[in-house]
Amino acid sequence: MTGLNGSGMSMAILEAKDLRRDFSGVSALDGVNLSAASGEVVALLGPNGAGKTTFLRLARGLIEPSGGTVSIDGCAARVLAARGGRGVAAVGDAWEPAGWISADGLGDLQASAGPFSRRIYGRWCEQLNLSPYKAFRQFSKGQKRWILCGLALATSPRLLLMDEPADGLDPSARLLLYQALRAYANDHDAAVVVTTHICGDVEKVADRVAIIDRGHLIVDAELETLRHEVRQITRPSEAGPIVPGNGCALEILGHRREGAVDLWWLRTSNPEALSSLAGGGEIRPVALEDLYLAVTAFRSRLENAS
Amino acid sequence: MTTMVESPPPVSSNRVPKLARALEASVLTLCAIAFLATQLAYPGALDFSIAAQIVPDLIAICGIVLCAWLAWRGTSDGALVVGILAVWISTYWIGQAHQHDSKTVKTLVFSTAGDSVRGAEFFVNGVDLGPSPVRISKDDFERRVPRLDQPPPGFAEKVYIPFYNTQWWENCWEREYVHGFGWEFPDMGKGKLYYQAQYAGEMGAAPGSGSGGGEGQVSIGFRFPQRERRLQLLLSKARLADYHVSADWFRALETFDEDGWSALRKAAQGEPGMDDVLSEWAKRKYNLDTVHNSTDAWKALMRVCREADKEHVHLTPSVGGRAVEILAKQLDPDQLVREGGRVIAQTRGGVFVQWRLAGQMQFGTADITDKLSFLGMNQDGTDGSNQPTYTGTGGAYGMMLSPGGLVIAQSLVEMWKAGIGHQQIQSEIGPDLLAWHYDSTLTFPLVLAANIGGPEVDEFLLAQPWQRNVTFRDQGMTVFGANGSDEINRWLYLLTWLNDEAGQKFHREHAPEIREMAGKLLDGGMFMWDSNHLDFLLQDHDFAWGLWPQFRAAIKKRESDPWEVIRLEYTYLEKMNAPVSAFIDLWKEERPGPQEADQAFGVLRFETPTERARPIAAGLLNFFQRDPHAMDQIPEENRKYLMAALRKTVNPEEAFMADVNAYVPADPHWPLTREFWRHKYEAIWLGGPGGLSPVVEQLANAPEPALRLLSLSAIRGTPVASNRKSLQKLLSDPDATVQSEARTVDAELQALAAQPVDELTSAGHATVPP
Amino acid sequence: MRFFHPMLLSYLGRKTVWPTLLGAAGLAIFELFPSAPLSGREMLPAAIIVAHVAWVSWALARLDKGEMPFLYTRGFHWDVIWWHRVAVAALSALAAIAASSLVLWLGLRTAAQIGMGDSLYPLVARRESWAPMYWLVLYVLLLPVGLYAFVRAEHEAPLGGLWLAIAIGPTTWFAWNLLAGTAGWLPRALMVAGGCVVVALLWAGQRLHRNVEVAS
Repeated sequence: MTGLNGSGMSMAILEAKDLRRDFSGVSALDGVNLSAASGEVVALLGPNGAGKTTFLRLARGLIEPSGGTVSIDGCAARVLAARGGRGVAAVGDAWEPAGWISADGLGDLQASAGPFSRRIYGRWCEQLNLSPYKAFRQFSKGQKRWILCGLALATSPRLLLMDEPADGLDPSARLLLYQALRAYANDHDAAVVVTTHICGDVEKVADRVAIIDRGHLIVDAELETLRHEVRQITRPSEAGPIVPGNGCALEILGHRREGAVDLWWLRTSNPEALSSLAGGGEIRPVALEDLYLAVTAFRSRLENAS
Repeated sequence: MTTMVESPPPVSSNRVPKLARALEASVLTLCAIAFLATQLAYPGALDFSIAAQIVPDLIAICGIVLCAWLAWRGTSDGALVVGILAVWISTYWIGQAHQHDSKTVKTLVFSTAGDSVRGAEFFVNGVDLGPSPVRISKDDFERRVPRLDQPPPGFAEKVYIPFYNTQWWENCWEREYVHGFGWEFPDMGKGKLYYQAQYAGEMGAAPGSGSGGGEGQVSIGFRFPQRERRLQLLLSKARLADYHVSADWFRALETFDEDGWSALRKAAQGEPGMDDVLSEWAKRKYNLDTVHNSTDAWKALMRVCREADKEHVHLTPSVGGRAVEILAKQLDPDQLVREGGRVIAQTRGGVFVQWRLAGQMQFGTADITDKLSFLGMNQDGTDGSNQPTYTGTGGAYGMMLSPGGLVIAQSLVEMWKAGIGHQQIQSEIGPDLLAWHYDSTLTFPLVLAANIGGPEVDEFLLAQPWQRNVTFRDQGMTVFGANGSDEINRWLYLLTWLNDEAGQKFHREHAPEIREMAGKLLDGGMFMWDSNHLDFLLQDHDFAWGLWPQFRAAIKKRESDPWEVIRLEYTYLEKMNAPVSAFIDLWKEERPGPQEADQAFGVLRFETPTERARPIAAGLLNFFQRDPHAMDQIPEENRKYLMAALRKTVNPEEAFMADVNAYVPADPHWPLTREFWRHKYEAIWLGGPGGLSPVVEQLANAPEPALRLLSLSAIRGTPVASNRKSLQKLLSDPDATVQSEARTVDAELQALAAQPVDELTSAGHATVPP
Repeated sequence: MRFFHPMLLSYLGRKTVWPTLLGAAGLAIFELFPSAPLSGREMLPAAIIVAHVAWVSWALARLDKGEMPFLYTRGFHWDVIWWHRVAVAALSALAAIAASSLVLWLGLRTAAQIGMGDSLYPLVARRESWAPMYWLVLYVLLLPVGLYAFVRAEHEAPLGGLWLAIAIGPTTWFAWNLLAGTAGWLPRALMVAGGCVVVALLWAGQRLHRNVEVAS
């Protein structure tokens, strides 16, 4: 099931088409089409093992696609990576430097690789009062992430790929981080792709959300669009399944039976037309987290049934 | 703006594995070829003309091709296995075939030795097989060379050679078979083979004894008297010009190769002018006149080294050797010592020859043994011989001594002899020799180090376990003797060689141990004087006297020929500088017969420096004259001869004159036997410094015309200035025969002076008067 | 493109600290003990060098650890990373050679041998000074093989580099024996061929390195 691309942006920096990657015969990503345009923050949401990190590794050019393509500004990600990947910054889960190096040393290392603003980096680290001379291994998990995010931002990239960037940060730091990412995307016309499994973070920072599960992209839409178009319908189970009818652009995103009642998560460009389907049942807007859980559970049941 | 998407690398792209496959295929193929290349040491490897080796050669090549193909296909493991199997099987097979083949001679090699001619035509049973060295397959030989039951036409014509007392040689050498293990000549049965050689239209003369070779190889020493005559005339031209010779003259001399400088060296013994000619030759050849400082000298030395390596030979008496003698005194000792150290570090062994020429030991080495074939003949008219004295590889890594390396070695020797650089040589060369060869089977470098001496060498040798009793199982602790005896402690041996102050102190303090070792050496037969194996024991004369009884007992035990016993005894006494009385006492004890006495007196005549030999001979003469019974055991007819031999040693000129004067009046047919006399005494004029002897002037001024005639033979052969002066007098001799002969000689000499040198080259064109 | 990055060198170099220390110590300690003069062709140092090369190559090629994805995403051209890997390996080898050379040139081996009562010293020490250079040649031949083998292992048929190592090792041994004993065109040709193989391995390694997968 593919999501509708609702970006509406004309300049895609990152573009993945029918992207596939297998590991030892097992498909980690299958037919993913996703893009990120300049000025846009895309949140990639999915459970553990969904393929988020694999997508980021492919986007950064660290691994080879088994099928399809992924390009950055028109250049294949693998080619760009081998050339150094200028203009792309990535913070990966467990992509950490050697423990002996200090924050200052990291700055030196990054500076020797390409354009780097020590001023931005220095101010970034000062926000959390991080000592520049302490060995990396001596920082906490969140502090490490903070430093790595600072390194990425200070290179002024066109594309930021962040895998769980707020992992380990306290709520205030998380807020600071997402605000910074948001501001960066706006101010620099950069594209930011953030992976997370925390829906609250998505709502703080993202323009668009893509839900990925078991290697497949299930939902890809702007947040506002989802708020407008996705509804949850509660109706009696005896009413039977909802079948999309002619003339009604309707997508079933999720379904759950609770006793004698069926809960349906539907997406339509005309939510007012859903009342006929509710059959007297309740229609209400859906929070992102709720949608995410329903979508992933529904998918899981469908796959088990097949 | 959308940019073009570059094509990403395809999934599991062929590009990456293709590069790896190409590289791996290339490297595996290269490894297989390199393995095979190491087997090129086997004669015939990858030689498709050898039937027995076609199959393994094909296996090797097909295996390598298959290995490359498999690697290209991505099966590097299979490629590796195939490559290993192919190379191993083929090289094992070739090795087995080679072992089999080596037992059977397939190719015969015939070459001339002796006179250093190049490319003499080699005849066997009258068939010209081509220029020497001839390499011919056994099948081809049997097809072309006919069986002969009688000698070919012209066989055994006598050819006059002025040499020793053997003046008449035959013009071919007769053998019954070719040297070779297991070689047979089935179609010819026991038929004879008659070898002849021809050069520049002249048939060579063979001595009728002595030849060399190996499996399937024949090397015969031929001499070409006409050629030798041209060489002597060329030297005489130099004498006529008072040793001021032209570039053309040098070019003509060069055509004689080794014989050219060899003749110069021999002549230089009595003629300083000839020595200057040799030096001039070296200066011209190597531009030594442009050498003004040590840098120039070094560059010139490197030219000599390069030439030696290019020509694959260096010989100390050659022109190159003379250049080294001149340059050595101008070199920077530190630079030479550094280069010497480098040569020592790279060299693990070597084969060089040493022989006596012009009264001195000479050395030479060659990469190609053909370059030394001229040494197959005696060079000095004495019992000189070529002996490889240093052989082997030492069993470790490294190269054999190159000709260029011998140039450096000679430079060091010359520098040492000139008293320059002793400190550097002692602190670097001696220790280097020990460091690189302390445990090898070669003892020559160690002996050299001991001779050099110095504080580091002393300290090293004294620190070694020289007291230990050793057996052949003690690796690196023994030294090989002349007959292969190997149970001498090498450190004690070397300490005995040590010739400096520390060495002398050691000799004094440890004489009993040295005597015990000397006893072992003597028991092992180590008294081959030609190679000077025992000389080191005799450096200390007191010690030598202590060893004298042991020596006599040992040689009597080992030698069955009494003449060899007394020869060695006399040699021992001579080498330890024994007083005259010792020789007389030995005579009284041994009471030698005529043959033994001749051998003993031969030591004095041929192996003892003149200044030493004369007083000993005089002492013996005096003893015989005083004691009438001293020669009771010698028949009368031999006594006169032996006494004459002693007189010749004491005063050769006087003895010669006495012989001549004794002969001439007794023979009324003197003029009829002139030819015989001329030949007999020309051996003295041409073979040694006789032509320069004051006796020539005595003969020229003798009252007897016959003696004056004899002087003209010497003048003709050695027209130096003093002899020419005598000739001028004889031009107006009162005796008509003498005057006529003098005019003939004068005309000949003038013709010789005017003769173009082109006619006196090795393959000269003029008819040379006998 | 800037080619030399000291920080990158230092970052990669830290990964080779232990193999360098142990390789250098191994060679240096080995040198103190044999009573026969060192020739550079002893088996134990050759084994130490093989182990050192293998360890260094492995340490530099461990792309699965987090440090390496971090490094490969900093913005360095991967060819630059490759050549810095080569440089770090070379420096590791040079450190081992330097340590073993110092043991000889400072007379430590001589002093040890004299202390052990070896009468050959100090005189024979003069023939040992070039032994570390033979080891250096061995490093020059084997390091490219090791570096290539590990980057090759990231691709299909991953043991290709191992087979190369198995072929090159004995060939080097035989050629070494040949070179040491003779002169002429063949040893020179083998040296040139060896040089070409070294260059080809490093160049091919660079090309293959562009397509490695930096996993986490």
